[in-house]
Amino acid sequence: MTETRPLIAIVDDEESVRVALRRLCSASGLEARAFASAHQLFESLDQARPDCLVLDVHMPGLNGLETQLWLRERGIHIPSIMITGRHDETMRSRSIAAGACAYLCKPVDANVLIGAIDTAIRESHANISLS
Amino acid sequence: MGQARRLLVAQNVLLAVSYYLAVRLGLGFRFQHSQIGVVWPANAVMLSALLLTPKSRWWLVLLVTAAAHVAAVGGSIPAWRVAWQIGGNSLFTVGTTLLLHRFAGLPIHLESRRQVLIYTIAAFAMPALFSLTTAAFILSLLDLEPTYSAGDAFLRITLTNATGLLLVAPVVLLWARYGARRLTEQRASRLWEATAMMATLLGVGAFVFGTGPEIAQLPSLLFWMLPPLLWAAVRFGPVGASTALFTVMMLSIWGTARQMGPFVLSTEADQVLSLQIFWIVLCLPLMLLAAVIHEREQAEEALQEQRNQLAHVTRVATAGELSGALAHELRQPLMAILANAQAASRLLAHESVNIAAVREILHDIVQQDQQAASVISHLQLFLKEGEPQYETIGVESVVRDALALGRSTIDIAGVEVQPQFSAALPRVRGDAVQLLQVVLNLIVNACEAMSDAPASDRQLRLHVTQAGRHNVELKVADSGVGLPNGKTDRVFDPFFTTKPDGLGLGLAIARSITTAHGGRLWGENNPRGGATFHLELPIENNHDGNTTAHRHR
Repeated sequence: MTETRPLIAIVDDEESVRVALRRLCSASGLEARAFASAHQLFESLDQARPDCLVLDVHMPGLNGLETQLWLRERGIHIPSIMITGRHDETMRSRSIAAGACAYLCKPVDANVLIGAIDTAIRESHANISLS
Repeated sequence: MGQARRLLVAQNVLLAVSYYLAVRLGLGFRFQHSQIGVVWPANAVMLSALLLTPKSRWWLVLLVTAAAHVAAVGGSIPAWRVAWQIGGNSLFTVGTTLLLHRFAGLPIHLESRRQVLIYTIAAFAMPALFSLTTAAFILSLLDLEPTYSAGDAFLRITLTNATGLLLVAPVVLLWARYGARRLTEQRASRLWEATAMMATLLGVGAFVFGTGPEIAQLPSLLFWMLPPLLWAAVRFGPVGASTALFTVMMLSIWGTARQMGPFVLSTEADQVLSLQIFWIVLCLPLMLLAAVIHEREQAEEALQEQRNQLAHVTRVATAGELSGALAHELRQPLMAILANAQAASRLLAHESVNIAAVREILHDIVQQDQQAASVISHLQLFLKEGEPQYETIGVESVVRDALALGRSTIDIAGVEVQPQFSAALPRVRGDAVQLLQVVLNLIVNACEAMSDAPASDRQLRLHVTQAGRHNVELKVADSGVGLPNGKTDRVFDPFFTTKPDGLGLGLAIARSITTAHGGRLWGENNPRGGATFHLELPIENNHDGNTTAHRHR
C-alpha cells in the first residue's frame, strides 16, 4: 500500500483555525496545506491540485461561496467543504447549490470533518470513474 | 430571642436615662425666678420613643418614662402633681403620636415639605390643647397660682412644649433612626465638611451668645448665626438642620441664663419668650429648606437611576444586535481548540508520539481558551448593570475594549480600522462601561454607515489626542453616507434613526452619558464624504467641581 495521501487545502482568514485544521488533517493521515485567502489558494493551484477544499464561508476578499464559483467558472472541479462561524440558511443552500459537498458549523468535530472529507473525495473519484 | 430581649432592655434603659436627663435639663432651663422653662425636652424624648416603637409596646414606653419622671421630680413636689404631670404628659405625647401617625405618615423623616408642615402644625396644636389641662393653667384659672395669669400660663406652656417638639424631638428622632448609621456610610470628605460646619456653628454660636452686654447690643449679631445654619440645612439635610438648630438653641439658653448674649432683656419672662419665639420662627424655614433640597436631590437621583437603567437597556439591545457577530467571534477559538485537541489526541494514538508537536498544540489551546474567555469577559463588562463606577481611565484603553467587542462586526462589515493614539495621553475620570458603550456605539454606527460603500473604501479612523489643555478627544471618522445635511445634530435626538430596525436611542444615550461625564459629543460631515464624531472628555484633576460625574455617590 504505497498510495499517496490525499491533499487537502484549507482556506481560512483566522490563523488559529487554519493551523489547527491543518494539524488535524495531518494527524488524520491527510496531506494538508493552509491558505489565508482565496487568492493564495489560486496561486498554489499551478503547483499542486488539492483533492478537497475546506473553505471558510466568511472571509475578507472572496468568501467561501465566491471562491467555489470562481473555480467552477474556470472549469476547476475540486470537491469542497464549507465551514462557518455563523449559521446562515441562505448561504447554506447557495453553497450546496454551487456544489459544496457539506456545509458545517464551527466548532466542527474531527470525525464529522474527516468523514465529510473522505466522502467528498470518494464521491469525486466515483464521478470521475463514471465519466 | 435572647438577643432581641437584650436589645429591648438596652433600649428601655437608654430611654429611662434620656428621659430622666431631659426632665433634669428641662428643670434646669427654668431661669431663676420662672416656673416654666424655655423648653421641655422630656416630652420630645417620649414622643421620639413612641414614634420609634410599635403600638403594642407603647405601654412599656409609658411605664419607663413614668418611672423616670418620678425619679427625676419625686420629692420636690406633691405626689398628686407628679401623677398629674405623668398623666398629662403621657396623654399629650400619645395624642401627638397618633396625630402624626394619621396625618404625617411614618416614619417621620422630615425629608418632604408636606411632612415638615404637618409636623409643625401638630407641634403647635397639640401643646396648645395640652396646656389647657396642665396644673399651672388650671391653678391660674382658679386664681390659686400667683405668678401667672391664665392666658400667660397657656401661652408659656404651649411655647415650652412646641419648642421641645420643633427643636428637640427631630434631633432625637432622626439621630435615633438614621444618624449613627449614616455617619459610618459617609465619605471622609463629607465627615470633614460636617466637622468644619459644626466647628463654625459652635464658634459663631459661642461668640454670639457668650458676649458681654457691649457687643450683645449689636443689631446684626443674631444674623451671624444664619450662614452656619444655612450651611447645615443645605448640605446636610433634615438631620443637619435639626442638629444645628438644637445646638445653637442650647448655646443661646446657656448664654442667656448667664446674662450673656443678645437675649438678655429686662425681665426673665421676656427672655424666655423671645428665645422661644426666635428659635420657633427660625426652625420652620430652615427645616423646609432642608426638605426642599432633599426632595430635589432625590428627584435628581431618581432621574440618574433612570438614565443608568436606560443606558443598560440600550447596551442589552446593542449586545442583541451584535450577538451574531459575537457568536462568530466565540466559535473561532472554540473551533481551533477542538481541532487542536482532537489532532493531539490522534497524534498520541500513533506509535511514535511527536511530543514537541503535542506541546505546541497544548500551548496554542491555552492561548485560544484565553481568547474565548476575553470575548466573554468583554461582553460581561458591557452588560454589567448598576451604578456607574467612576475611576481614572485612559480613553485609548476604552477604544481598545470597544474594538475587541466590535471586532467581528467590523470584520463582517469588511471595514478596515486605523486606530491612532497620541503618545502620553492624560487620563480621564469616568465609568469604563458607559464610556465603552459610547465608543462601541460610534464604531457600530460607522460600520453600518459604510455598508453600501465599495469594499476598498470602508475605512474607519479612530484618533485619540489631547484637545487643548483640558480635554482628551476621540475622533471617529468613517467614509460612509454621512449625516443628514444641515441637521447634523438631529442624530442625537431620541428615536431619530436611519436604520430600518433601529430604536434611535444609541446616540441620544451616548450624548447623555458624555454630558454626565462633563464632556461633549458631536458629529459633523467630512469634506470628502462620510462623517466624523468627536467625543471630548475632561482630563482628570482638571474638573471645576461642577461635573455631575463627581456628584454621584
